[in-house]
Amino acid sequence: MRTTGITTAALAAGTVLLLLSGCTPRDAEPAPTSAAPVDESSLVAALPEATTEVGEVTWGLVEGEPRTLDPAAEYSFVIPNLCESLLQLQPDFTVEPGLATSAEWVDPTTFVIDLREGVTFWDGTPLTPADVVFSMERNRVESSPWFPAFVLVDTIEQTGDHQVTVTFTAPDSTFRDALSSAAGAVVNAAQAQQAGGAFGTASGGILCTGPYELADWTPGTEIVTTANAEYWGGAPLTETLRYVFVPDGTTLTTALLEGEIDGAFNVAPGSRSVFEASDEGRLVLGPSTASFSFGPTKSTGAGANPDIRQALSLAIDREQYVQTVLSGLGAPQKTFTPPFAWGGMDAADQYTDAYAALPDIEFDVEAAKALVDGSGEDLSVPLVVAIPAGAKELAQTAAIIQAAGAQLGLTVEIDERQPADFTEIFFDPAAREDIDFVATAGYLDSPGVLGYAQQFLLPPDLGGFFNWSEYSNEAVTGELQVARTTLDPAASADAFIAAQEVFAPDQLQVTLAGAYHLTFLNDGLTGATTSVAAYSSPWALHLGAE
Amino acid sequence: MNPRVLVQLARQLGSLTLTLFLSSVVIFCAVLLTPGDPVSAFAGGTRPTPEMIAAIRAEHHLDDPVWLQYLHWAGGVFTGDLGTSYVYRTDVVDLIAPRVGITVLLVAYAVVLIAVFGVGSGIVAATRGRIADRAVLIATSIGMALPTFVVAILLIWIFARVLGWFPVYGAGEGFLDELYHLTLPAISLAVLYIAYLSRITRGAVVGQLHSEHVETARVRGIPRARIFRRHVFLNASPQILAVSGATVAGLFAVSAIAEQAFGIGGLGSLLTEAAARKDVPVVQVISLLLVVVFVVLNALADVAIAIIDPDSVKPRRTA
Amino acid sequence: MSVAQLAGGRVSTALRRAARRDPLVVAASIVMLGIAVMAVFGPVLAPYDPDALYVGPISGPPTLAHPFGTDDLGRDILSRVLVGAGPSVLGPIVVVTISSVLGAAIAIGAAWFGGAVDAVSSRLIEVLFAIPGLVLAVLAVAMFGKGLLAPAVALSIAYLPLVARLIRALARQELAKPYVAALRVQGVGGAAICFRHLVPALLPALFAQATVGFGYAMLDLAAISFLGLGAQPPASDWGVMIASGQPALLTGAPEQAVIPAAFVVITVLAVNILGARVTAWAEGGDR
Repeated sequence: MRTTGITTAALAAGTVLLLLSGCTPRDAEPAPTSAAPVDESSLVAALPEATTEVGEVTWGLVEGEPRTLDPAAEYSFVIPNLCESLLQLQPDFTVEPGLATSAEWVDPTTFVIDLREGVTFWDGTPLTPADVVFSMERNRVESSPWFPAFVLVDTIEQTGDHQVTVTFTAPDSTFRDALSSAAGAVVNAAQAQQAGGAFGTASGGILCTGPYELADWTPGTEIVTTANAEYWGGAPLTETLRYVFVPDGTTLTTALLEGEIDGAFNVAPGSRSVFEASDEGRLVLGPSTASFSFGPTKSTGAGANPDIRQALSLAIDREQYVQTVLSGLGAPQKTFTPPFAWGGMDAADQYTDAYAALPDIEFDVEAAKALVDGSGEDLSVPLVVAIPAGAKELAQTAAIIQAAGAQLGLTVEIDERQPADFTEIFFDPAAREDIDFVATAGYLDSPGVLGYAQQFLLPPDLGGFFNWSEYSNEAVTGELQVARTTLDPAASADAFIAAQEVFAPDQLQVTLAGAYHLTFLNDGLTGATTSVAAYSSPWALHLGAE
Repeated sequence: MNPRVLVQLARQLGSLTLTLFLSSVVIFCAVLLTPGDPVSAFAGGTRPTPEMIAAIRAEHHLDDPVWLQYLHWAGGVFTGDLGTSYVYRTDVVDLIAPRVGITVLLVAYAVVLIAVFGVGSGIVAATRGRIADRAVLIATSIGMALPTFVVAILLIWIFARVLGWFPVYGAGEGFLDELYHLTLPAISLAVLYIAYLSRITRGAVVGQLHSEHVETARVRGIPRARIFRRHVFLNASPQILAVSGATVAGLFAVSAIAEQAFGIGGLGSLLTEAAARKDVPVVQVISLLLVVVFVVLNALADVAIAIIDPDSVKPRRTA
Repeated sequence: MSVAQLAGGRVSTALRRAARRDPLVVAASIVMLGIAVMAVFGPVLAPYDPDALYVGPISGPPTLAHPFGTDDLGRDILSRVLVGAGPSVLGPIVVVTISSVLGAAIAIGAAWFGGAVDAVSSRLIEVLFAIPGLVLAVLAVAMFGKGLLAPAVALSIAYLPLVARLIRALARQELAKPYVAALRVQGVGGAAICFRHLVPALLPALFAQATVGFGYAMLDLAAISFLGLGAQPPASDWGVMIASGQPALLTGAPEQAVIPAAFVVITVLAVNILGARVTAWAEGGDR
């Protein structure tokens, strides 16, 4: 007979838990209902260059471990520090010479690339035009994610000791800027051929020219890179840059706050308050092309109906979305092409004016209901939104879409898919059959306005790889083709803007918000690129101590 | 040891080997039962050409008869070739090897905590009177309802937010730093098992205290401490040892939760990650490893029990 | 056997008898009754729609309007806990039911037929014993993908040996009793002996084992959900709530994870207390 003691204890255990949770210190007084607004002009694209050497920096990759470091196969924040592109994307999204000292059109269909002399790979072998031709040809196959940049290319040939010439079937206004992304990344041809299928993996390795060289990759644990003392632009001040994989945002937050990890990109916006209160490091807000959106996955069902998308768009309060999902670290965005994407382009002013002229985003549930009622869709069929598993912001996004749907009498179901299964959505029509929408966080890795427009609006044979709802508008197709094949920046911009006026209201992607590029960096460190350009250029080149 | 014990022991060890063999077959079958084609898993995201498919099938022996595939896989245990990860495309062994150390250390730490506090509190409950017994009983009742993930979030919350005495992320570097980092994870692993082992110890010790030979020893005037050491605890230990295999194998499994919560890159977090990414070959090998741990520890426990108490050698009563 | 039956059905007489001597059991029963009410009527009792966003502030603290606070989407945590009770309790019930039925069937078969059947089934049980339940569940997820179904089925299989081992021993004891031989001599058929005499005699032990198993299953399923392999958000399953509330531990809103965790702990505590008592009752003793 052991009795009342345990009863009391059992009840006490529960009450203690409840009491404790009510009594701990809280951040930001009564929990932040609205986070402090951010002045867009205060965004920082890069931190001041470091002046002092530092032994080792540990960088957290919330995206998880890369499957490969092959720039032609995948992107990750590791690659741009290892394998450089022909042109170098600057933090402010302008394009400067990189491995190429010059890359220019000599006539409407001929593009000449002059290579920097004296550049060597990590093993000391010189960079040759053959390596450049090899690397570009690897991207010019249909299975490459960079294939769209090369669709108009006819030939790629060595035309001198330090020169490569690319000829085109038609002029291509997007090609030069694309070379600043991983589409223009150069690898060592001999090593790549020798490694064969293992190229880029932990066993096969990689050989490039970038400011850091691959020293060691322990799968599942870490990737270690060391400063390339022979780097043509001067050796970086950080001796060892070690990448660890922390796919869980909360764990990454803890690790950064405890100083176990020195820095990371894409940290959880939800942890804004603790980052800002940290005495270990600082949260840097940078400009970005990243945006959150959702779009249709097939040509049938209510998702393919522009009225339904418009209605869902009207039923989501964008300001509240930015507060909830991004903790205020972003801003509503009118269309899928993010303003930062054209910030460094010649015709920037034209694009900016056209963006300003687009209708403002409305929040009007009544109007949305009317649209749904008039759509003629069968509302009893649930709409399924696919999101990648483990992405908290997208899980919240899906919940918000679901709630918006519920207000309009639409049943929205959420299908959380594993990263591998989620990627399949983009390759395999069968994987899209059971879903109506896919919600994503995307970004543009190089300057240009045509990226999304071509993928979402053109017929598949013209590059509309993600035009799953079979959108087809001859005027839009025509103007976009003109924009692509017109080398004159102003004329190209005119064509794009004409198309944008037509396609913007159809919301092929319901763009929910643009997100800032978030970097958390340990105090004492500086020099990192803190804009979205970190995806494409050696962001750790100037990394070091203050 | 008399021959009867040896024969019985040999029979038990044989039975454990058979268990090991059969579990490996069960685990191997996982890949056969998995919906979808392993080829597309290996090709991952890309559309493989017929030549690629043929190459993948040949490389991973997918065209062999099932039994041959099994032999190849199980034989890999001895040759160090345990298959290829779907996700990382590297040998599973290369993925697992660097992670074993930290998980073993974590589990060992937890085992020490469990042994000290579990057995200790069980003995206290059995021998130090009603109040102590009551107190331990209350504590263990609560402890048995405190799973690793609950203890983990409580510890993270308390130590990350309020106290800050122990790190709540990562595994640290160097032995002492590792122990420091693993303290909270080990506690979160240990709590439920401490309570469990405390109960078992108390039951076994109480049983012995009331046994005839202890009564006899007491009547013969042997000192209490000596009685306890030589008679009570020694005779109670087989019951404690009998659950050790299941306990430690369980700890290895549950370490997945502690590792996830505290951001430790060990075997458990690899298991979780691999499962989430449907990386069946990795999950298979880790599962097999845990079965081996279970079987080996049970075999060791059987031997230990046979040495301590030859009469007790009979089919185990686990958990 | 549902919790509702457990709280209100045939066991209640036994409970009442025990209650006079054992207020602990009364307390545990009251807790379980409460959980059962939540599981059945949760959606009715919930003050807010559990999936409605912005019914309160984002990550709001406990207030009168929201006694447990609000989560990262401004949803009412009390409502989510109430609605989450159903799935959180249903999973373990499924696990316990499948493992009890299958385990008992295998055990009775083994005890009844003996010989090769017994040897094979004992071997099978031995094998399943060697694989920890959590690992079997994770393996199932790796094979069939995330969600509660695969882990629940895997746990049912993982728990099967516990049931089978106990019931096999008891069934053999029961079959060795003289009355069974007597019935056989009288010409009573095998099926009749099995279902009229053997099964009823085993039920108390089976029920006791099920009660204990319920607690374990609840912890294991919540752990699977915590690992992100089980029920998927936005489900308000307690394990999912704990996992998705984890980030808020750092930002000073611990109730998002701690409150559902407290419900898991309290439920398991109550089940364990009842389980110990029911086991004692089934064993015929009264320690």
